[in-house]
Amino acid sequence: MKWKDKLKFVRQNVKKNRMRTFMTVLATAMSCAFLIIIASVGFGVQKTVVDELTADALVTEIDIHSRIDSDFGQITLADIQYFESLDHVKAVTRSNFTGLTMEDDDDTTSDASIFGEITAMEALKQSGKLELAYGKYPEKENEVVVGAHFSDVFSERAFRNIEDTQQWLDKTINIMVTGESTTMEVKIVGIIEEPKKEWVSSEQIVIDELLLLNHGVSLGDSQQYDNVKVYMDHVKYVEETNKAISEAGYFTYAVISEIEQFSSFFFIFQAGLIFVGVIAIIIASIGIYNTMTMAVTERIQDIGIMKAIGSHPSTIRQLFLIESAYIGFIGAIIGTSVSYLLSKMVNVAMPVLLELAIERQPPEDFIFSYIPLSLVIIAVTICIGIAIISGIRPAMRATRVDVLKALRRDI
Amino acid sequence: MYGCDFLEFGCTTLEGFFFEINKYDYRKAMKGEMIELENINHSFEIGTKKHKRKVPVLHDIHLKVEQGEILSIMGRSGTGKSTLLHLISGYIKPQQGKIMINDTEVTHFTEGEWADFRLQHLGFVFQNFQLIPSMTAMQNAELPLILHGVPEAERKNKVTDMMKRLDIEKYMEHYPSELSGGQQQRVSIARALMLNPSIILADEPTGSLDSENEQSLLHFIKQLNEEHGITFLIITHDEQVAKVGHRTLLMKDGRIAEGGHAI
Repeated sequence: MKWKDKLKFVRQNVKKNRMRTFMTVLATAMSCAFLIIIASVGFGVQKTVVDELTADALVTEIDIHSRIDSDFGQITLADIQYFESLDHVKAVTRSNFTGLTMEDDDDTTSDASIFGEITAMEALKQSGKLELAYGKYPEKENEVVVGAHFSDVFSERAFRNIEDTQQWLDKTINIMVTGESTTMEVKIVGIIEEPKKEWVSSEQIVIDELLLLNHGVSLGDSQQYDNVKVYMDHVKYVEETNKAISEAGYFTYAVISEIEQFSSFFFIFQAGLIFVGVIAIIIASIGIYNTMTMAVTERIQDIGIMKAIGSHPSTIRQLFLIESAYIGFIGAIIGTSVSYLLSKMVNVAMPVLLELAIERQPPEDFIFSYIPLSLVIIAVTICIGIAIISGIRPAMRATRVDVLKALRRDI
Repeated sequence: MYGCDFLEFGCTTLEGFFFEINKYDYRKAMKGEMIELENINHSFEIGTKKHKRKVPVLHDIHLKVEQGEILSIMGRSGTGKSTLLHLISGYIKPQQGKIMINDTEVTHFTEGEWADFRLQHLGFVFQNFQLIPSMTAMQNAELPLILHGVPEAERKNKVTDMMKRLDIEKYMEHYPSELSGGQQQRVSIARALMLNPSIILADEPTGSLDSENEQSLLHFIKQLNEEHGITFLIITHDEQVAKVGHRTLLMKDGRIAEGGHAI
């Protein structure tokens, strides 16, 4: 018997008792939706935590704080060259922070103090960390980019009558490193994107270290760096490289390591929630078992006729197993669709309800319920699997139907 | 050879079909034992679990049925004629003895092997037709083809042609409950013939028919046998029905009382 015909048979049989099938599918759909919704809370909390950890950090990023030696020595150019020599390293960014004075060249106000980030611009561009909201990446050493909150530096007064950071784009300014007398003319060619975390301020002006070098300006010991980050070309190399750098004598931090630690905890948490959900599906499976047993009882004569004319017992078994899987599948599809809707509703309604009930707002961007594809696959598989298991006994009973008894003939 | 396909004659009417098929004398062409039963003994257990007792049904049955023969099996109720047919159908297993069908020993067949064998070699006609009530006449008739994995388009053609030849093409979309006894029996015959079986086992085939439909069915059995070479085993209480057979087997107290030797 071909699969197409088996499915046709099953569809025809399912339609024989629509109400009973509908109720069984409904119970299965409800239990599947329950499983997904309850587990989605676990996935939601995990997503919130992971999003929080990775908000302004790339998962391919390794932070290098200092060397592990007696005086916690700063990272030098030689260290940078060592990091760059490691396999799968995409870029090594480094920067030093310094105070700058920005001259008011049209004399409308006095000079302003701004915050400078001196960096290796080429490495910063390669890292993918520098994301611009407006403008372009610097191509020449006298081209710079500024943070999204650059205008805030000038406190309440407008500098050069400019109030909004975006208006600084394509403006040329003169800057001086605090304590130095050399004036450098730079052009603002890009505005960095707003930080994802609201409380983080981005007021800096990012300057290529070559500019200072060519102007003979020194930041104390220019061979040392404050802020060094290694970027890998793929997340799978982060853990290994982080370990290697750490063993080579550096203090490091990689957000991915922290996420992996959380992952173990969330895995257990989610498994527990899925287990609770599975209990609901097991309860629904009693309904499927009952439906299938009734179906076998009602169709004993049909089964007898089919066996009498030459239907293989395995064909009869398959027909009933497909039928129970079909109920499980339809239930899972409906359950999944409903749980997506419920999840959306929960995420919208929960903050409002919490505020009404306990007069407190949940943290910003908190996700109460999140349904990843993996959860859907797990739930649908469990649902269909349990439906098939609950159909095994009725299916076996169908294969054991005695032809003569089924045909209601006296022997 | 005996399993000649009705459709291969390419005729469109029943008369044309029989005209073509008359050219063959299957009984002359095919000689040899189709069914052979040796020393068959069978009994049923009755009673409760604690007080079981055996009731012997068949004793020492030796039977040979020739290819292309119509064998009528007669006897009173409880003489074991249906049990004999059920043993040949594989619905029950003999407790003792040997059964050969089409040169194949089927005595120790598993249920699955029996299912495949039945589908390919045997056709069944029952007293109460045994059509699946929730399926149309067409769906009932095509059931063996579905089980055999025949593609849908081929199935539709075969069933349509067969039902035309049995003069029931008008009722293809009717459910069994919407058909008369004669029409239902024709659907059941269409189903039995669908895979060109070499043997048709008929258990009281005229039991639920009026005399007109009975005569029509007997005529059809004879025609199928003469022109198509199909072997028939017919269980009946009716002597008129038994007369259609080349030989009549009389069963008495689980034994063959008369007609045990092949013609």
